[in-house]
Amino acid sequence: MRKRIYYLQLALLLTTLWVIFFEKISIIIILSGFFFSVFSIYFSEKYLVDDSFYTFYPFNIFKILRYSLFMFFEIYKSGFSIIPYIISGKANPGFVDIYTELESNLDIVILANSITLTPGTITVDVQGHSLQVLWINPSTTQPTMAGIKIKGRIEKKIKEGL
Amino acid sequence: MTLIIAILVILTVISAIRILIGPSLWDRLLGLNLVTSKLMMLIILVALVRKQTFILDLALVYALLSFMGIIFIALFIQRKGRF
Amino acid sequence: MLDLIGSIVIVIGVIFVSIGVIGIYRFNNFYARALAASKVDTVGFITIILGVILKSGFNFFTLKVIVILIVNMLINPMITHSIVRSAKISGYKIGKE
Repeated sequence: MRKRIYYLQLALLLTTLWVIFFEKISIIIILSGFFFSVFSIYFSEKYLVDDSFYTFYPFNIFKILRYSLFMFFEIYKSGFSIIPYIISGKANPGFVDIYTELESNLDIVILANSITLTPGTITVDVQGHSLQVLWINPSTTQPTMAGIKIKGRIEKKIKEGL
Repeated sequence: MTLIIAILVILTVISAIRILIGPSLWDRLLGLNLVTSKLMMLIILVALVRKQTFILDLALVYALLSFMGIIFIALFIQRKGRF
Repeated sequence: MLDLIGSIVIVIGVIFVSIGVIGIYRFNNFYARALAASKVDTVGFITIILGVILKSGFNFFTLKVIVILIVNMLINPMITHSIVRSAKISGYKIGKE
């Protein structure tokens, strides 16, 4: 049942994209968009992807929206905190190792991209559960303390459910 | 609105100088990335002024093409020319 | 009224972008420049797009701009990550200029 709702949501997402690109709402465009999205999901699952989409990318559109709203505030907060470094022109960036407790691959990818998206930190390498992060002004190089400062709230938000 | 577009054009030219003077290869790639994102902003603002939606398709296609280009140039440098 | 607010938001976005452009000339270190440049692509881009959305109202223009914003938010971290990772693997040291 959850699987069927997931595929319906994927097809509706692609249909919305189709309607936006046509810039016109009419019954024939919506029907053809739905047909093409179901066809493309079926085709890519049968021939291009090894396993089903449901095991690879199990997402929920409402939780993604909530998470992106949270990310907007995080981006602005860290964006303002980086301005003094640029004005004064003094920075000594360094590499820091941090550890994450997230299990699935999709969660680790989302965490790494969120760390890169917030200004001031860039993820360089991921190996298993350890991430190598470039930080603009490393106050500590100890993994746990740096981990709390860099990813504390983001990881908690991802762990709540995505 | 015209003033904003003019300021953005000047900023684009200033960040394009980084491509010319950058001491290392990656500085030049960084300048290319900056110029790309500013050109996308310019395309969106021009589409807003002219009130025509088909110009936005150009921004979308430009974003995807620059993504492929920069990623593959970076990989090409990282593997020292062996692809 | 909404038009005026949109213009002000766009001006704030242009200020963010110019701070980022100043940033790539102030530092004398590649990694610091990369960190300053990644700020332009996120904060400035989001602010300018918010201003455009406020100015144009709710129609297909806004929806298409939102699609561009989503695509850019997915693409930008990958580009920055790829450039910095390429420099790190090629052996570019932090103190070097």
